[in-house]
Amino acid sequence: MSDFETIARPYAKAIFELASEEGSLHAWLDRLTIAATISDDSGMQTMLDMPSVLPSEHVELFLSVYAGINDAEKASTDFKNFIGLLAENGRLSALSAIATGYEILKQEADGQVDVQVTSAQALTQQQKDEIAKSLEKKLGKEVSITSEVDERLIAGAIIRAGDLVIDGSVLARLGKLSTALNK
Amino acid sequence: MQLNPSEISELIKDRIKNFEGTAEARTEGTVVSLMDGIARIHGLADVMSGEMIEFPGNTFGMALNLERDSVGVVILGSYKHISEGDTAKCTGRILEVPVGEQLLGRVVNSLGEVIDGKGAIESSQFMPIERIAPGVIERQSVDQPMQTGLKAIDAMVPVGRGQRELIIGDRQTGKSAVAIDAIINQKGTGIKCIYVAIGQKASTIANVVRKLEEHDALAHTIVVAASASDSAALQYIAPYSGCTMGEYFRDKGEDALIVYDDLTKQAWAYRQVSLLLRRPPGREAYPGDVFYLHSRLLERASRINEACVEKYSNGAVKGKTGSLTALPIIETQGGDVSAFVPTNVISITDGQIFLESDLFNAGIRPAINAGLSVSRVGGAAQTKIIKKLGGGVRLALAQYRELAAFSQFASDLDEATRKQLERGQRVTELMKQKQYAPLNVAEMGVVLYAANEGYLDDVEVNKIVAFEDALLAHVKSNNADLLESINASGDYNPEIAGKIGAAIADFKTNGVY
Repeated sequence: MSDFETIARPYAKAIFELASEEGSLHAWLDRLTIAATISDDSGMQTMLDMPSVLPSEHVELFLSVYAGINDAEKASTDFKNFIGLLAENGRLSALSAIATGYEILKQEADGQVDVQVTSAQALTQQQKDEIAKSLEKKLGKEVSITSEVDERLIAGAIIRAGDLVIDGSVLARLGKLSTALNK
Repeated sequence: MQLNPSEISELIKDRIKNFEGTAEARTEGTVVSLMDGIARIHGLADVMSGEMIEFPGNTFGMALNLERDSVGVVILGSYKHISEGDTAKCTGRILEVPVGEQLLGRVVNSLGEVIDGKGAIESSQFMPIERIAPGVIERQSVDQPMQTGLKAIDAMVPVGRGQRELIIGDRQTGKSAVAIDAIINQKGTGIKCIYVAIGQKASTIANVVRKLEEHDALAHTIVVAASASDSAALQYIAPYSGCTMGEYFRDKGEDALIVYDDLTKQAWAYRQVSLLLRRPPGREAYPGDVFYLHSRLLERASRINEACVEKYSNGAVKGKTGSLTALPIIETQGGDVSAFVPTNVISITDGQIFLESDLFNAGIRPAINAGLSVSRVGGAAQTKIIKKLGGGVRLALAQYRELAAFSQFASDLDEATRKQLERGQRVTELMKQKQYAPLNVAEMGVVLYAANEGYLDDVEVNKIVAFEDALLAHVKSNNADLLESINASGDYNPEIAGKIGAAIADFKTNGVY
């Protein structure tokens, strides 16, 4: 996981710089997301691992699948070159890490942050707004909230923004109480 | 089912009452891999070097390697219950241990947790295990003696308060014995002791604790134990934990003595941790910072001045200096002092006590090599009487060593040479001392005076030990006031010399040995 991240970093940065020069940040995000989905496919993975298939064949296959999914846009030359370069370096499996890295860079540039809120009960829109408001104050960034419900928390919520975790759930408190009593 | 002592309802009520369960913001990461007590963690974006990392199950680790995509953490203690994918949390605190008087008389592990089964300690104060050593301005020169109670050391390689004196020798040469005698001798002096046992058998540590207890020395001692079965990480941090506990006393204007037994094993443990963290190996496979490993530890042993004590104690203690004396121990392999770790520690410390197996086997115990042992700063700190009388001993032994080798070839020797040889033999014999029997300054003064003034010249060599015992018993019963006054002042003048001379002469005419 983290191995691919190291490999992906320079690629993601290069694409990000290219895209921001061209002013096509959003288009590249779509392209990379689709490409990542393709490379994550188990059939594609097996094919990529096969030594008998040449890199040039990889590119051909990859692009034909891509064209099948994204027929609205004819693949750009830059994108073709990018896939060709990855195939040549044998890094097509790192595509999903590259997409993630690119997304993070884009969010950073936009001053946005994805926040996951897990709560015991479904959140009302008002609650979401309040959480978003106070998080924006704390993080100094625009917050987009995705929420999910996990009844195991009993009550309260866990907020995740990247590495930062704010755990206000009863489950975590009970866990802490049990460690305190077992000391 | 049996109830634990901690399961009394009062206690449980208390704990629930004081329990703070507020929501907290922490940085989290995920365990990517875990092997040999080293966890690689993905995430933890704002981790500090040396920060405590919390794992599930109340387990803690210390962040050592901060890399671009992962953090290398050594897990302190058992890691069997942690698995890949577990979350690891930052605590925002550098690794710290409890400090204070309540630790005295107790056996704790490297994290300051009690392991002697005598109940929990109420510790209110914690200090980080890695602290910066006092700077130039905060220090004061070493000028007070730290009596070890061993004639050979106090007379020839004196140790001052705040000094770092290395004890070095092969296995089974009595290195620990010297250190433990020094601890026992601090009884009643107000010097607090810390004995850090690293990588030793648990049974050996238990023996040391029992011996200290037998000699009433445990009450002023903290034993920090990281036995051979503890993880390498715990063995690596044990000296730093012990040092922090000692610094607590130093910083409040008291004197403390710390024994690191031994730093060779700590270097091994650190080598293991470093190699597992994939740091590049250097000489003898030690990592590049093995010198810094010991230098930063030993630099914390120091004497600090009154202003510094006042600053550390927030003005509560005025007009007192504090000191932490260190006796690190290094085990050599086959007498090889030019190996990596021994040369490092020799160069860091303010002198060394060389113990040799040949001398040990010849029955000279403590097996101190008087020629190679030195103390670079202790001379300034010696008690006046020992300084005056001890000089002769060093000289006599030096002359003896020179002559002993070459006299083996000479058939007949002139009178002066023969005398020097005989004096040397007697002084060598006199420097022998039983374990767990430290002498005070006055007793040492009397014995050294007898040797210097030639009272031993007509005593047979094999009777010297008996003579010494009988002499001390005689002086103790007949001249107790003299001993007391010497112990109180430490002075040496013609009047005292005359009194000691008279006491010895009295023993030689009336005493039996």
